[in-house]
Amino acid sequence: MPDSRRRTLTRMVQAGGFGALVIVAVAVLVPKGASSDYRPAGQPRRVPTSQLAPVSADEFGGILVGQHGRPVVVNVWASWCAPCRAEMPLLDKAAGEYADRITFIGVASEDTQSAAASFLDELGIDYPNVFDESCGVRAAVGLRGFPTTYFFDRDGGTRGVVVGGITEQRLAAQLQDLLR
Amino acid sequence: MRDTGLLVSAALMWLVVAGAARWAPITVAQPRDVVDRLTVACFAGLVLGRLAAVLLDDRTSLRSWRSFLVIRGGVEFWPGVVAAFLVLVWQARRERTDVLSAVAQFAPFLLWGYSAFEASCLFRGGCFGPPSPLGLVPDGLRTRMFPVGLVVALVVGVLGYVVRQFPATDTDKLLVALGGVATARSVASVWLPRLGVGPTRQHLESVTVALFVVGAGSIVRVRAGLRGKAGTASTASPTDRRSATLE
Repeated sequence: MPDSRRRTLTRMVQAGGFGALVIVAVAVLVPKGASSDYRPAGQPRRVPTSQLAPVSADEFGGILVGQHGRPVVVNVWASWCAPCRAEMPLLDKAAGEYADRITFIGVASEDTQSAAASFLDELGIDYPNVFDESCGVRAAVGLRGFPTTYFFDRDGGTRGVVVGGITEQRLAAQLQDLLR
Repeated sequence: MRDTGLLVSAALMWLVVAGAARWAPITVAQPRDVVDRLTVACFAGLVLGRLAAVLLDDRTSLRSWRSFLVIRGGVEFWPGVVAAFLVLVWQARRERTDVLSAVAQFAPFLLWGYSAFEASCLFRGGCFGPPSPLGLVPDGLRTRMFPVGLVVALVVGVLGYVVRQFPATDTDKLLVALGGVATARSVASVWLPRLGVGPTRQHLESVTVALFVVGAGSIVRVRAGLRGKAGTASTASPTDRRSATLE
């Protein structure tokens, strides 16, 4: 076989191998989407007016039920978690931007109340945050890692879950999706 | 938490640049050196880009390495490009090669690497854009979106080919590369989801760079015209002179 043909064949095999590798990588590595079976239940409650009010899982469920008819974004965070710090100002900006259409609630979990309060003060966070005193909220929503952001639609169903730090594009897309 | 999407993007960039280095050899470095040099340049770009983002958004994050390392928290693109450019200049000077020629030869690989990064938006939670019947549904959403990232990847990939293949001076190649990326990012920013109604910082930065390139290109053209009229010797780099002679 002439050299040029052999080279062409080798390149075609290499390109085919690379293509196959990419297809396998896409199939295996493209995220399939985190999900949550959590469905809030309980007596409707108001969102606490004081920052970092301690809540149980039932009370937290009641807060979400109390928002029925309005989409809710729940961000579970901890003061020791670096990605939580990175995304918090973004969530605060979004809470201000969508204040009339979407409720934002932060849940400080696996933390001390004082550390969580200092964290909120330092970053100047204004939207309501509750304190997951017994880690019941964390267990109820099926938290897999810090931070996690849950998007609940108007009927209380989980519309999306983002595990790990959220980007502005992703957050804006999720919020627009919630309102659609 | 490990950011698998970013790791996959980095691996794809590396694969694409390594493949391109074999396919399109350059005179200022061996194919293996292309990957080595660009890895160092891109790492410097990542560090300076992240530093710029932290300084602009949350200076208190500088107190903690863990906060600094949250790459998803934000990386300023153009400061990163400047850092990568400076590293390439430093490498060229160390190798005693013509700086402008060396950077111009590396430019297509940077463009292909960036193209691979944009194309791998699929691995980073989906490719966003305006809602459209034609497109993809990003992970966790119900809205079909036109994948702006994939279009940017295509445009930048073709731009790399143009910069590589078409005869032009080194200065022109660099201006086309910079201006092309800035324009692609400026246009893409209009369509990407964002909080608020105003342009994002990334958008304004890209528009500024695009305008700067137009201004710089005009000055270069006017100066070349004046020089041509005066019949004086060119002060461009040796490669520029060679390319101009070939044209």
